[in-house]
Amino acid sequence: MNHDWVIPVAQHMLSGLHVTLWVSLLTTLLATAIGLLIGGLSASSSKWVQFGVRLYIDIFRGVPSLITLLFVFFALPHIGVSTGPITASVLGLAVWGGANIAETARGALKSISSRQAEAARALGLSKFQALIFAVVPQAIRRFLPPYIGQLTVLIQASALTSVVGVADLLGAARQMIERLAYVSSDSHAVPIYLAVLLVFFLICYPLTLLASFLERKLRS
Amino acid sequence: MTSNFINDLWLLLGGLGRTILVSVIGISMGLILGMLFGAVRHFRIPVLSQLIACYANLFRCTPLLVQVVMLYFALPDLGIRLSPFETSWLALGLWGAAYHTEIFRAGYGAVNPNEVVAARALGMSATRSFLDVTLPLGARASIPAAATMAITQFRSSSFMIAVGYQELTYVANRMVADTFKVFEVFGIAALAYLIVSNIISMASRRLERAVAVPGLGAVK
Repeated sequence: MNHDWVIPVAQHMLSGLHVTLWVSLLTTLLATAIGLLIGGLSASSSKWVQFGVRLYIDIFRGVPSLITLLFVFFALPHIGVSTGPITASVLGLAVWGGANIAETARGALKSISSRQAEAARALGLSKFQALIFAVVPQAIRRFLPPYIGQLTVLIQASALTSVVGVADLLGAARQMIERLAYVSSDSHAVPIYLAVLLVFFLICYPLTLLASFLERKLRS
Repeated sequence: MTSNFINDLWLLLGGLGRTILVSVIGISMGLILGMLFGAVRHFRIPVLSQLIACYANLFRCTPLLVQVVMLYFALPDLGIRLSPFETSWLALGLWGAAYHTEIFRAGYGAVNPNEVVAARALGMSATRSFLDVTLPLGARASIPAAATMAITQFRSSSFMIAVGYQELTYVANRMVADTFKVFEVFGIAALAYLIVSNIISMASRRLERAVAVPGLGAVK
């Protein structure tokens, strides 16, 4: 049995992993920023702002992540913005993931009784201060466990970038399988895809453990 | 122009039909396996319970897209050749079952243990009391979470584009590549996903109300 293929394949997949990690990181940062902003806006007393927040959350949570990604991928050049597939993927996934994080943040804020804010107001804090010092610190405890869960969803969603031709971990694996089949006509699809599964598992499993640990710890 | 538009609508509708077809099979498979595996986890049947826990963790901590690609492109190396259709519902069902297992386990766990003690005191066997008490009450408690997961499965059927199954996202993607009608085509596809998601969610709320047992702790 010839194992010469392993080293070059591993090297190429390592560069794919690099892309996956970058896409995951950028998507996470952007989605978190969008989610916190929109989720925070849900605390606004304006009917119009609340309507806008609901609209954004309901639309993007009801649509597949892949549709959002493909839409951004095709729409950006259509309106004259030319970006690479990686940028388009990050934007598409972040807009989609941002809606999920916004819903989590909205739920966490809403779960804190309005009496907490009223009590803070009675102590002389302004509306904004009451939100920042009384409601948000309590809401964070409810927000954090599902938020970590959302992060594993976003990391897994980064694999979708391979659909628009990004050589992420999955894309790189696919390229190598095709190349190997072309040059030597024997297939190594099973070990290569198993390696992809293993890498994602090693990233996501500790995060789910962290989420359930935080859930138990912060509940008390 | 008009006939083109109507023709395109028919193509999209055909895609939606195939999306619904694989979703119905995948969701049914996920629910049935989830109820079964959830029971094994609930009773902590040795060995089987640990095996199912491993299966659930593995499928929940790796991207569905990688699982789909693996079923389609790696299994032939092991002598198992699946069509895009078979891959699609099987992947959706296996992936969904991993989540439904945890949902139903939590549902069975939410049943008031006194109900089971009462059933056993009346002379029911462990199996009888599960089938007549824990399962009906636990399944009722699981409806909201199971419906959310069913909607997620429905939306994730879009990932089957990766194996060339001609569901809604596949059809929309091809149409946009051919016609450049980015906003129209993805707009209609997104609307279709939103409508079906909302139908599932409304149906689940109706079901929850219809089967509610008045004044019982496990069900709100």
